[in-house]
Amino acid sequence: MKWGALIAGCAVTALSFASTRAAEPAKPISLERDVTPLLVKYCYDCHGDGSSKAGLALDTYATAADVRAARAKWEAVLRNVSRHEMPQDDGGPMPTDAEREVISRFVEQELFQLDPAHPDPGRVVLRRLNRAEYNATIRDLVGVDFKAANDFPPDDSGYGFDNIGAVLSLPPVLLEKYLAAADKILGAAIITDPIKSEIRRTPASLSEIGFNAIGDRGDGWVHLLGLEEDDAAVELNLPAGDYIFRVLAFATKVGGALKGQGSETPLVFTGDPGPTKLALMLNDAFVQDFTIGTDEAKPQTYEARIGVPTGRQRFRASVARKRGGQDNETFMLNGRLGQQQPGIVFVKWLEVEGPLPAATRRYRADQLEVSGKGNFTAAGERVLKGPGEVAVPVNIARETEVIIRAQAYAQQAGTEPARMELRVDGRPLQTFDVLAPATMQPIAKQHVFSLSLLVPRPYVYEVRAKLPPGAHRVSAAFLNNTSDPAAENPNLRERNLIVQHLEVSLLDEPVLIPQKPEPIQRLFAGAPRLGPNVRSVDETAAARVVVSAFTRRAWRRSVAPVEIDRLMELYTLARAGGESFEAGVKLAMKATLVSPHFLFIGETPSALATTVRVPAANGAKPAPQPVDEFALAARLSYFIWSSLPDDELLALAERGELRANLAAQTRRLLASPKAHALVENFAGQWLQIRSLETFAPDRKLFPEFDPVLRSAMQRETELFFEHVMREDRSVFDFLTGDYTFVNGRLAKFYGIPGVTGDEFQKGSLVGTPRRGVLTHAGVLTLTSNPTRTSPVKRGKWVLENLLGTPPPPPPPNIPELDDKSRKLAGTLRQQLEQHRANPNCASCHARMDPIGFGLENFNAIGAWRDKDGDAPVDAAGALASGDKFANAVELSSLLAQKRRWEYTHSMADRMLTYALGRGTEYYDRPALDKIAERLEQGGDKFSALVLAVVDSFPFQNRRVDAPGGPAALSALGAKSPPRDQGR
Amino acid sequence: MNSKFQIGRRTFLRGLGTAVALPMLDSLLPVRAFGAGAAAQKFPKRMAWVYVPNGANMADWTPAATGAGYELPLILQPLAAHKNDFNVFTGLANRQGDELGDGGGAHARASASFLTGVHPRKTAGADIKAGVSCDQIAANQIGGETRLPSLELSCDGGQRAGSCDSGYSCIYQFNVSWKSETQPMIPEVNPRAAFERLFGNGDVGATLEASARRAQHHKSILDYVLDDAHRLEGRLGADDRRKLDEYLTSVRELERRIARADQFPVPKAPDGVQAPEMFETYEQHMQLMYEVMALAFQTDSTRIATFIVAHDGSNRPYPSIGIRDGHHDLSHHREDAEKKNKLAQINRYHTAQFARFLDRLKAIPEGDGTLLDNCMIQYGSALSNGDKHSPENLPILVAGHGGGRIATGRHVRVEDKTPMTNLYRSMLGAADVRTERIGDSTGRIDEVFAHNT
Repeated sequence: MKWGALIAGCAVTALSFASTRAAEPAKPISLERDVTPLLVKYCYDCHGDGSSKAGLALDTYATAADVRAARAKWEAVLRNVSRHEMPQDDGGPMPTDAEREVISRFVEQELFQLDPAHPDPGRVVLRRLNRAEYNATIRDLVGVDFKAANDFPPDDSGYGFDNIGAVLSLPPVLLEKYLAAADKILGAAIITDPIKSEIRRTPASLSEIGFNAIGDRGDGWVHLLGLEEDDAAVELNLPAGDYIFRVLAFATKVGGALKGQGSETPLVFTGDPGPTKLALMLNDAFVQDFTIGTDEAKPQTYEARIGVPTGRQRFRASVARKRGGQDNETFMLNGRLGQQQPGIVFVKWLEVEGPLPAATRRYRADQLEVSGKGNFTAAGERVLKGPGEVAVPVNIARETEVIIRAQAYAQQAGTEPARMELRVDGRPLQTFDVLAPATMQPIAKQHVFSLSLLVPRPYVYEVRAKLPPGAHRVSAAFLNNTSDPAAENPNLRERNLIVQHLEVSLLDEPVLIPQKPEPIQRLFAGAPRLGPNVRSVDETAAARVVVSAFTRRAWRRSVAPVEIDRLMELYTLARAGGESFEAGVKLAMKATLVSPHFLFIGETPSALATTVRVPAANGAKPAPQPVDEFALAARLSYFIWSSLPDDELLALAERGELRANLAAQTRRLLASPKAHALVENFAGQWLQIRSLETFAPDRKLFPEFDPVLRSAMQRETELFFEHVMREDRSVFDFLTGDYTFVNGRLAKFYGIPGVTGDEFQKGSLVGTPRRGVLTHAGVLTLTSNPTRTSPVKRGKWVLENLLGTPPPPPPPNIPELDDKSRKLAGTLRQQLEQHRANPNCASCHARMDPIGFGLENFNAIGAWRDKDGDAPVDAAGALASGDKFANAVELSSLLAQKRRWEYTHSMADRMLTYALGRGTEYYDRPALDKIAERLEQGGDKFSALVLAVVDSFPFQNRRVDAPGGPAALSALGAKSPPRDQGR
Repeated sequence: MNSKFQIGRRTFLRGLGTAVALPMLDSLLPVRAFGAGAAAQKFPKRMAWVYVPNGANMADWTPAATGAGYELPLILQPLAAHKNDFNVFTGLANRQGDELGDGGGAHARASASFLTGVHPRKTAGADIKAGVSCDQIAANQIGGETRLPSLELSCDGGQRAGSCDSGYSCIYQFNVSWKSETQPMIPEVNPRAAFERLFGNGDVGATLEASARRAQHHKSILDYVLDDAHRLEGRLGADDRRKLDEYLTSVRELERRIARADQFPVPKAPDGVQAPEMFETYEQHMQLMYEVMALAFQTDSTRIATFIVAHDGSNRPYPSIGIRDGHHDLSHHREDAEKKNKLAQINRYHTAQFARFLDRLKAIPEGDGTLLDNCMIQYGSALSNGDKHSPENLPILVAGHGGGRIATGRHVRVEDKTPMTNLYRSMLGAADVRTERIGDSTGRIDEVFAHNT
């Protein structure tokens, strides 16, 4: 149970929090003196004096010890009394709030005696990897983003998150999928035979169509509009090599008008629109773009040759955005912040052919030799900050033609674009202007004050050459470094070149066995070199090295020799069956990936580990133990990255030094790009923004709500969270932040002038009616009904997610409203207020509704409105505590000021739940208090929250079972069996 | 074939509903399923439970007359062509889905108790507990006779974010099939993945020898991990052991499957049927899932299935039939005539979708009759009046003749508050699955069922 809910009775929130907070040693409440009289008065009709409805007879508990012995029953009493679910209102006397409080506090006092000297860290059940974690773990372990778990059945959630160990189950179908996934993953990562070239054609109508595309017009031609992310894409799992990506397309003539999906307004293009272009992309990188012919009778194929690494890749035919254009010229450098492009591209099919006969090797920037001033980004890109280059040696056996490719982007300063030269042996082959992200200057009186490209879009630059046999050096050099520290626009102060990778294709070489992905390559490189003359005994030793290293990483701990012995039996089995070295290693690795040690996060002790059981003194519960260093590493990395510990974490744990360096490691993990997992998996569920995908506001009432807008809404909240995390802002920014992130579409929707284009920009909200996530359109949409706003849902959302004081569910059988109540009139607010005249509803709705009323200026998709129907919106109100507000801005700041305690505790509760993968319990109260306290001491900074969670007692420790298993299980367990049918 | 059901480019559906395209179905069935001679032709009995959410507008569901020759009310009218192939039941109750002192959360309880007859423990996560569902009881006894013991399907893939119904974990609301009281059988939501469970993923291309070797490899791996898990077991606490038990059970089940791989080779998909690619609408999604279920039964890949058409509490609007409000919102109609009418439209839409599934089963010949003759397909909701979350007088029908064990074409009124589980006992009995008790059952339903035990 969530303890906020436990102590937050319906109308008594402020009161009970105040009493908890003060934690003064209040006079103990006596059963006999204080409680029993109330029970007699209100409860015995059904639960006493010979009556025992629902199997509960309250008069059978004579002493406090009796109460403690019947924990489950009294927890139910607490729940029902504090949530106003009991007693049922049958016309008899009803307890006052103060009387409910007496009963509640008595039960809490008896059941939840917390002994500060002996804290309970709770029990984190062995939890299997959920889908997001499985994907991320494989990505980091094997180095290939397979997303195999996308084919797994959905994960169930509990306590608001889908990483709760007790809820994640493992039915046979899942094990079947684990086995198949391990097969596929290792099959693609460790290829033992040369690959045959194939042509894979996908009709555009079966491709994944970007969220703004209109789709098949009926004859298999798919429309793509000139908007960002408007693409037809196909995802394929391929071995590394060179491929041809080909599409069949034509474009409409420019200047036409088109009615878009869900839009009443035709899109009309005016002025000199320029040619209609289509870009072929691999994942997020532009490979090549084409001007598309406009003769529908003669559609043409357009193709690009692409180097592809092993794994799942997204081939995209994407509408190329116009670079420049009148409206944004002032803001544009050579970036891509463009207008919509003219014309419509129609695509019939997408085709991927390959691997072509060529030996293609891709070298990530962090595998290259570097010179000159610069640094590596966390993503492994090389930032060239001065004249210098990145280079790779290439050996060529005979004269051959090569393709050299560099994937890069730039940062901009001055007027000329960044220049990159591709060279062989220091000789220039070709120089390129490298495209920089769009940048924009701060503009006075405009809400937008800065613009940065949040997702760099690299291009692939390519050159061909003929090379003689011998050793060569292929490089990419940065030619024109400059800086302009005085530039008004902070985005235009440094010119840098950022290289992501170099790629070399030897065109006259036959297709090689594709290169293994980097981490696997490393494993195999660690093995003794194999050759025709090496005897099998050495092969076995080599295999053992590979399997050991792989298993250690996969199981996130050091592995005992006996464990490897047993895995090696599988290797031996395969070899005995006449299979290759690699096939044998693969079989052992497959077992590693299906083992419980891989699939479950938690302490899965190795064969050699001895569980130290602390002897319990006098039959007392055994003392909690610190989780071991490996488990701590896994807790930390799955919390922040949703993935396995990296080498550094694992090495620290192996040396027993992680705990001593925990704060520094936590900060390191938070700074890594992989911390994006917190945005997707924590924020996505905490703020529920993930569920926006399934929302369908009424199309007729809200024609402007289309997938593009939906996605922009989702992105806004994600970027906002990411910003708070990356910039280490105060967590109160979520409530009162006076900035947000918008692109052209969302800015228009919000009525923020001066923002165009697809890229999101950070913009100020000063002077607007919006603040924090409460006024994000996505949040406002997902708390609305399809056809209208729901102040109740919005209020409930705030209570549940921001304040941690969820209202109780409505009584099971709400008495029907009588006839006259059907004639409710006026605005929704007026109707609800009339509704609240019903005392059954009033106490809880008094907490929910006013918050929702404060947001009534935003319609069911979060757009501003002055009127609800014909009546003006009244967004003023008061919280249950009496604090008044006039509008949403005041409401958010009131919540931040007056509900500080609830908010910080709620954040602590949400994040601890997510970090542990279990619900918080009454005994977590001291830990939550401490997290909230440390958050405050740390200036409310996001990192302070994360550090406090990591440092908390339940995160650091685990409960030790008393010999014979936890007795608590049965005590908390069985509810009474099905009972009296005649109730 | 209904003209609305043109998903032209979705190759999976090509030829569906056209019985002529599937002439060789009998040959797909394992020979032993048919007994010795043609005279003793005995086909396996298939059972499925189709779950629709949020109750129904009962005035438009419950026929006025009982027995044969009743008139079909609005919601049941789309089933007119099959009137003689199903029974409507009135009076059945899912009492364990009632509040029973646990307060709010009727939708979570409805789904968790529906096939188990057990009142689920109220928890948002820790100590999940429901009961073993009737389909899994059947799978335990007769699941070994087919390649897959059972098949679980759903159109709702779990909650994306946020909490579920009033303090209940989402696990209760998104599953109806429970293998043990703590372990639900998570349903397949992706039609393609479900299809591949039946027919493999088609890219194998390996020789028979290679696949025998693969089976051997898989067996060795499972032996290894089973051993691994056993070693681990001793070092874990009770809760962890329970989680590991799920793992062990799954490993053993997979081992059995591999051991029986010779006996149950992966069947070829019937001619003209290919794996589904994608779907765009909810209707297509539903029909793909119904189709997977039909194919599973047709090829005797399994005899037991459950299908969650939408999870209980679903607030999906139905714009394709002009209903713009959410289903759940409408189910709380407060007796408003317009809302009730809309609710009935949604209910009718769902029976129309179900009718197409029956069309499909009927179009598949089996012996002298059709596949439907050998099926028992329960369709219904765990609530009746959704406004009051009432678990009594549920809207339930059972289609198919149970291989001749069920007399159909009637509206059967059973004694009020007869547990649903009594019906399950009768269905399972007709499929020769013995049960003493299922959840809260108090007996069996004798009317229309020919019990031989």
